[in-house]
Parts: sequence; C-alpha cells; structure tokens
Amino acid sequence: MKRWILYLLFIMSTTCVSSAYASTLKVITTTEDLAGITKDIGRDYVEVFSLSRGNENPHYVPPKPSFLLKLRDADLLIAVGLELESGWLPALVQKSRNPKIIEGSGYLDASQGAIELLEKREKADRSEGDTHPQGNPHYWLDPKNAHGMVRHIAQKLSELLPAQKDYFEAGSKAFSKELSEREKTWDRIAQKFHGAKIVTYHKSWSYFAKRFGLKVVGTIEPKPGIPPSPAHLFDLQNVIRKTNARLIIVEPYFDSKLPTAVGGQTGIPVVILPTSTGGVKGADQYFDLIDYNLNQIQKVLQ
Amino acid sequence: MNEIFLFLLPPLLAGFILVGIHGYFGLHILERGIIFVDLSLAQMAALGAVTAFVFGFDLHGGFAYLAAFSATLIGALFFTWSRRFSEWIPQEAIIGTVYALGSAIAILMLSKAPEGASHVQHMLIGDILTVSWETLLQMTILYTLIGVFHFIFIKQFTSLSRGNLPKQSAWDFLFYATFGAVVTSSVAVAGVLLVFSFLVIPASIARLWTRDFGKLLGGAWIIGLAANTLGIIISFWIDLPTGGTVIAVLGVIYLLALLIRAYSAHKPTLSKT
Repeated sequence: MKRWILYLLFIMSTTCVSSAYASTLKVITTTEDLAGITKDIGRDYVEVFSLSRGNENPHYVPPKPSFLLKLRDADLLIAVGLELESGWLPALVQKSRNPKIIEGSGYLDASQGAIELLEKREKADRSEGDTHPQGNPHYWLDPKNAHGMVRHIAQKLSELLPAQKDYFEAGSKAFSKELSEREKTWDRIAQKFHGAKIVTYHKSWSYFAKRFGLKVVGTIEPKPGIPPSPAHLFDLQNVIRKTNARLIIVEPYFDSKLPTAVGGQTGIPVVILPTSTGGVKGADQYFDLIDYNLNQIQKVLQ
Repeated sequence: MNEIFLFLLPPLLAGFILVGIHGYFGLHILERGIIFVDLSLAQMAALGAVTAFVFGFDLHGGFAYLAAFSATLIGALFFTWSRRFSEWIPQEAIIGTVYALGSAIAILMLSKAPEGASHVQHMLIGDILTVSWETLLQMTILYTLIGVFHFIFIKQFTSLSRGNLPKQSAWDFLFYATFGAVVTSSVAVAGVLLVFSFLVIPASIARLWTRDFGKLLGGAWIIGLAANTLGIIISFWIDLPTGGTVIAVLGVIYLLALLIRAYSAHKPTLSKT
C-alpha cells in the first residue's frame, strides 16, 4: 500500500514538474488547416498534431486508438466548431481521460474567432440536412476569418503559456501581415472571374465564393450531407443550363463520378479542389490552399 | 504503459462481455444451422435504431433502443412463424432475405439523413473503442439476466436446438426474443459485423474438435477472449480502427484452426451428450 502511494506521488510530482516547466504546448487540432495556422503562430513553442488529414471529410473521421493517446497528452484541443466535428469528436474527448480538454481551459472552438459566419439559422431541423444552426462551419476558406482565427488561437496559446505571450503575438502578427499581402494578390486573381456561376458538391464553398465573387447556383447534394438522387441531378442540369454555370467544384473526399457525369451532360468542367491544407499536393499551407484553389479556378475558367 | 491500459480496458471489457454471451448463442446458432439469423436480427435492430434516428430521435437514446428491440422482436416472430415453410424452403433463404431487405431499407432511409453514409459504416463497424462505462454496465446486467435465464432452461434450449424437441413455437420464440435482446444492444456498441464474427467464429472453431456442450462453450470463450485481446492490442499498436482489427484477427485464427484441423493426425471424438 505504502509503495503504491509513493508511486502515485512520484507520478503526480513528475506530471506537475513537467507541466510547470513545459517549454512547448502540445496542441491537437481536428483539421490540418488549424494545425498549420497554430504551427505558424506558435513555431518553436508548440507541437501540433491534426486528427484528420486534409483529404478526409472532417464531418466524419474514423476514430483510431492513437487519437485517444494524443488527446490524453494534449495541453490544448482546437476544433473548427459549429458542430462540424459533432459526429466523432465528443466521444473521443470524453474517453480521453484528459480533464484539461474535457472541461478545462484546454479546449478552443476556433469559430469563436471567426469574423463573419454565414447561413445561421434560428433552429436546427435535421430534415434540412447536415444542419449547423450556428452557421456554416467551412468559414476558414475566407481569409478574413483566418485573421480572426489567428488572433483567437494566439490569445489561447498566450493564456496557456504566458511566458511566451510576446512570441505568440509576434507570430500572429506576422501571419496576419503576410495574409493581408496575399489577399491583395488573391483579390486581383479573383477579379478575372468575378461573378462566375459555379456548382459545388457540398456547401463547403459558401465563404470562399462570397469572398472571391463567385456565385453558387446549386449543389450536387440535394441537402448538406445527403447523397444525390437522380431527380435532383436532373434538376441541377437544368439549373446549370439556365444560369450558364461554368464550373463544378468537388471536394477531394467525395466521389467525383456523379459530378463528372453532370459536367459531361452540360459541357462544363469539373475540378477537384481541397477544402483543407494537405487536401492535394501543392496545398500544404493555408496560403498555398487559397493560392491553389484560386489558380485552379482561373486556369479552368480561362 | 499504465495509461494505455486504461484506454484498452473499456473496449477489452466490452469484447469480453460480447464473447461471453455470443460465444454461447453461437453454439445454438451453429447447432440449428441458421448462421445468418444473427446478421438478420442484428440488421433488424440496426434498422429499428435507424428508423428512430431518421424520425429525429437520438441514435443511442432510449427510444432508439426500444425501436431497435421492437424491430428485432418482429424479426424473431417472423422467423418462428416462417419455420412452417421449412418443408419447402430452407430457413436460411428466408433469414438471408430479411437481412438483405433490412439492409436495403436502412440504406434507403439513411439516404435521406445527413451524413447517412457515415451512419451506414457505423451500423456495420460500431464504436467499441469509445464505449462508455454506463453502456458496459447496462450490457453486463442485461446479458447476465439472459444468461441466467438460459442456464435455468438449458435443457429445453439445447434439445430444441439439437432438434430433439418438437418445434415448439413458445420456446423457439423465447430463444429468438432473448437472442434479439442481446443482439440489439451488442449491435449498438460493436456493429453488425463484429457481433456476427463473435457469434460464429469462436463457436465454429470449437466445433472442429468437440461436440461436448461444456467443452464447446469453454473453447469458444477461450478463443473469443484471446482473439479480442490480441485484436485490441494490435489495434493500439499499429493504430487501426478497433472493431475491424478484432474481426480480422478472428478471421486469421479461424483460418489457422481450419488448417491445423485439416492436417493434424488427431481425430475428434464426436460423441453427443
């Protein structure tokens, strides 16, 4: 018995010591976008791991044992929020045995930093599909929101590791500065296809489209998260013809067979664009992601 | 290492509980030669839960459980009733049809639900990795009650399965109903495929060497527990989804057992008790 108590004390003391003198924060994010941004802010003082890969559907990530172990050791868990991860994350967090992220200060909902949220609804109605009543959760695809997310994440990192407050703020400022620079270029590229009408698979592109002057006239899914039916695709073809839509965008984790068929029928191109960093080769960072998507669209629409 | 063990423990215990009851039911199922009754009833349970879900109830809530159990009972009643056709059609034909139909209807219903595809996958594979302690406790209580019930009437149930009793509808229905209750909660935790594997594989392997009921049960349990433990350890070690890994391990053990049985000199004594 005595030995057990000593053993327990030893473990407790080592964990206390290690957290008090921790030089880095262990951060787990649900998506690679959040991981990349957090790494850019925290640099030498964060170790970041993303639970999903960029080419996975963030609505449903199959749980693996390593997720539990990673979550157990995390100082901070950052989620996209707005119920994007509600299908898989809560059970893992509950099982993580990590009080910090279960009810402590180690959980951050990045959407709280977002500047503008679209498609908010008064109440959730499952018959309307994958409803996220607080808003469409794909907000990171508007760089404006990235500014807010970066600030929000930097604040959290400073709160957890106050000694490095200045360092994190510097990281956040540098990110925002480069983002502002890039935005000028992006807006210039977007000018070239301003007002173009597009069709997307899922409603992942609302923010991106609004920001860069694209108009989404229809989706391959009849409602978010609901697979397409023949009747809906037939209607969609009419919409494409009537509105002169010029492009179909498909996320890497959806089957492109049906969109390709619709594109073939209506004679418009189909392009696979990542919604997250790491979703395709050449989009390994947040800046690259937006770069890649804009350049692809420009190339296809020329 | 201690830490990892704490994470391993819930799925490990869930597996043990599942092996305990399904190893036993598996013996009956194999004796009766109605292998797919489990897949079928499991699918009915999943269909019931999915129906509740589509109508806006929580997939793991009380109402979903009730719906799942009702659907399973309907299936059980139907199987009892349809035994009368066994003169013309093997019962497996009817059982298989119910499985196909149940799956098809579930898929149709989920096609109208958000992220339906992920729920279809969940229905098959379950989430044994993140099973909660409450669920474990509920399972233990329910399965113990059913286990005790079967233990009391073991004579009736075994002779019924071995065809030594006239096909009495009441006992037959009781068998299906208790089995359905087990399958309903097992499927919610472990998914249709893992439940089927726990039911059929350990009992099948045991039958390669003995017909004695006690030895069969002991053998099925030992094989099931070993496969479950090994599968979960491998799942943590190589970081694979837990349910699928346990099924794969069971499959490998099954194949090895078949090979050993085929090429070993030892002839089994097929004494019936």
